Amino acid sequence: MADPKEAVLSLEGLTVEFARGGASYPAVKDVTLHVAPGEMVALVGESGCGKTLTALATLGLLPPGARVSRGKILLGGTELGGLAQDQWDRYRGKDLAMIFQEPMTALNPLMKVGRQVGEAARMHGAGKEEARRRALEAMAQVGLPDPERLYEEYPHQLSGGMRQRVMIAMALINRPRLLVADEPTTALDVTIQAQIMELLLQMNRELGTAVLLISHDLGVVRRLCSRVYLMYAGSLVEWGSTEEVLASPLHPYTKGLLDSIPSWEKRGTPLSSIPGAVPALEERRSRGCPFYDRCPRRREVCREKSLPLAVRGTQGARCVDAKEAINP
Amino acid sequence: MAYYVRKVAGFLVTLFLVSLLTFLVFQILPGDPARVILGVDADPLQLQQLREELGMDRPAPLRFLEWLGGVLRGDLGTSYRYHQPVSALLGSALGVTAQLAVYALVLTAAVGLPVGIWLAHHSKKKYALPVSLLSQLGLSVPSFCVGVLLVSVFSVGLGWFPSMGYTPFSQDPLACVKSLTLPAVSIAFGSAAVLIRYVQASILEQEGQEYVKTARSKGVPGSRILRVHVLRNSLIPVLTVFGMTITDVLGGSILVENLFSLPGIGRLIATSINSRDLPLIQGLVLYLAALVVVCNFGVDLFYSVVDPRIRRK
Amino acid sequence: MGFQRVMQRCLHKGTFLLGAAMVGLMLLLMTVGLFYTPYDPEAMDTQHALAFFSPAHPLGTDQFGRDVLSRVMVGARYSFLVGALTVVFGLVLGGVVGAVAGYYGGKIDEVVMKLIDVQMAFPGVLLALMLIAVFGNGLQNLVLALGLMSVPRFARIARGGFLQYRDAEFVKAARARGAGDGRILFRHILPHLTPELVVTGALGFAGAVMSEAGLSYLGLGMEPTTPSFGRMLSEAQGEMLQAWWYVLIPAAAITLLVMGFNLMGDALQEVTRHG
Repeated sequence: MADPKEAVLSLEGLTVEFARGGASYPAVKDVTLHVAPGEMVALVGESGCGKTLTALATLGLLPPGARVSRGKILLGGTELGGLAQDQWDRYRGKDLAMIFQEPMTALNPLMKVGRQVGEAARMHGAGKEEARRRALEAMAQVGLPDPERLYEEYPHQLSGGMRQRVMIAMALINRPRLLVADEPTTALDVTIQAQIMELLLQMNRELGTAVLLISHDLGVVRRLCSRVYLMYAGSLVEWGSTEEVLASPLHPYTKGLLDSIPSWEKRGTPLSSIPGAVPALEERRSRGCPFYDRCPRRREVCREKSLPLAVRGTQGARCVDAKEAINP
Repeated sequence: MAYYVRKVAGFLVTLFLVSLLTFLVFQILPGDPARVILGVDADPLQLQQLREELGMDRPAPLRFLEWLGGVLRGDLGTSYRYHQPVSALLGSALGVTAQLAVYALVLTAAVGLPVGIWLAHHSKKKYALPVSLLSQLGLSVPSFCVGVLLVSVFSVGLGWFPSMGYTPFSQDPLACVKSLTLPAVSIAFGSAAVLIRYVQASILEQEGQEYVKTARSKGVPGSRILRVHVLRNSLIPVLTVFGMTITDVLGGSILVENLFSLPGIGRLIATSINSRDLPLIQGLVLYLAALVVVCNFGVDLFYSVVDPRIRRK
Repeated sequence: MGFQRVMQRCLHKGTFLLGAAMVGLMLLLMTVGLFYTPYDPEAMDTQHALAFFSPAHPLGTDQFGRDVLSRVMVGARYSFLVGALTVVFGLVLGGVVGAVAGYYGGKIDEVVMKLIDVQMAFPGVLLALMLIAVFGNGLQNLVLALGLMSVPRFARIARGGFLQYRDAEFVKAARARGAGDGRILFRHILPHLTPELVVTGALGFAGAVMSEAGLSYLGLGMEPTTPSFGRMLSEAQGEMLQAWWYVLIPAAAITLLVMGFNLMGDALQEVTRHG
């Protein structure tokens, strides 16, 4: 990524805190990332690491109890961070859109599918007739068969894959500059997963919509995304072009993730995994490396000291070990 | 379609069982209904006569079928005290009870829905306790206590409403509404408190649902989310409660009609218990219970109109 | 959650304490009334009929000049008695019916649920009125009628619970160890349902007090000579023109009891559900 100023989305030092029992805990910590126009970028990590919260913050949809305490959310240079909810509504669904993990529950069960798609257009200036026409168009575009009939159906009459297509049609109806896709295939059958990912890629190419894909599946990321950010316990640990990061990871966490993916080359050898789990919000380290407790290459300095930035080409990581490996 | 067939079948079975239970309670449980009607020290000759009148010499199942057949033709039997067909006595009483029930239901909905919605949106911590205490008070003061207190303030104290009696609508519409206002408020007081709680809980639950997040991500403003998305979804559980409210209102009318001397079904039941007029009570009870079953069936059908998921099941 | 912990949490809830205070006040009046009342509750004094509140008669006197406070102290007995007996009756019968339906399921369950449905068709005090019409009024018949009326709510809770737990791991384990149905029902599943049954019991108590008052108000509850709250209310209504304050006393007594039990039941429910 050349110039952050041209980015469609820039998060700069984004920190999201949860208030719990008088204290507040950072669930997303100092996250800086950029998405260029038309680019498809991945944000990867285990569940509970703050990916979804980052995505929700990007659209001003944080749940009660969570708030952005520091940092900026820039949409094409416009700061959205301090907006009131009714000001957010001008951007949401128009310049920024989102699709969610669970297409089952993400649609209103009592409203006809077509109206739900059209509502996104209605909210941003389209009249009744126009909204209907554009909804039908969008539904055809995402490969839904017989849009005229589906328009009149209710969500429970559709399969999971079709519902996610409906969600995508709804998100893209206003041609937003950025689509945030939060694990859009986790809840779907494997065969459908590939179709939906294919559709996202196709829409990205055809419409030029930039996509921030939240995922925990490095295989998918490898195929679709040009760049990747890896997140652990609320902090970014490594980023760079997908090719470089996956071919020669700098951070021990990235290495651990890659080692735990089964592949043809590794057949016959036991699959490794990262011991332990992402610590709960209240039990996270306030200083030093967030990965310290699970890291196979940890040093004494990692416990307390702030971490050096290791840079190699497009790649960056926050790790003492990586820094020493690059310039010994 | 199969859904509706099953619903109607269930409805008919419930109606049949209700009539069977009514028959069992009034005809089988007492052993000798004639003795209940005439009292312990009745004249044996009179007893014998009444037994024949009631058809006690024939086997119970036969009597049940005859009675049921009569009911289906609109013949609920003959009152022992008034020597009139039960259906004739019922006719005039039904109008009063129906007016009272509808009035109370309208009040319940008119207060319960808006207040519940308002509370769901303003459930700040500092209101939480007083509000829950207030609704608890509404639930806990029995309708007849509310009624007596209303009478003491608005009839005896201020003289705005009559303390008892009923004026037919055809005679004087305003006086009719006036004569039913305090009774309807007494009933609605408690049922509105119940409704408020459920509406509030239901809206809060729906607002946490994923589809609300989707709507927000489309840029739908909060007021429209409530109006278009949340309200209709919240209505579904509230409908169930409204079905229960109908039952409550009809049950509450029994006491309140007596309190205000309204000539409705509830008052007729109480007076006929005092005069041990079993055939009349039996008819009235069956009618009231059937009314409840019919209303709940109506609510059930309305469900399927509101919720498209049900029609498919 | 253990019983002690539940009680601890409850004692930190304002609503529970308020409810307990209301019930406690009535309980205190009743207990003292068992040994001592300021006046003989039946002693008439027509010279001082319908007196306003005064140091001699803190809650005034009724239409026969009887001391209202003394009558409230005696009347509370009947409310507590009817409430307690009704809950026990409903709990035992409803618990057994619900347990059988939930544990065995199938046809038995269907029949029981249908019966409960049918009973729900008789609104409010109607079911009790039917039985009183046939058997006459009085304490025994009243408890029988109110008890039967409260069976469905207990049966529903028990059924739901047993349905939920009959396939739980600890039940399977007990069955594998060779425990019989009775032992599983009572020793293994019942303890899990105790909190909910206690909640239902508290709410059922409130409901029984309310219904008893209603029936006595109609003159179809306790024997007419008993100073029950419903009866007092109906008498007070007749004297409203002369003594508006008299109705406040029985109305307040009924409300204190009903609301007290409701508040405690609600608080208990919140604690057991949400911790």
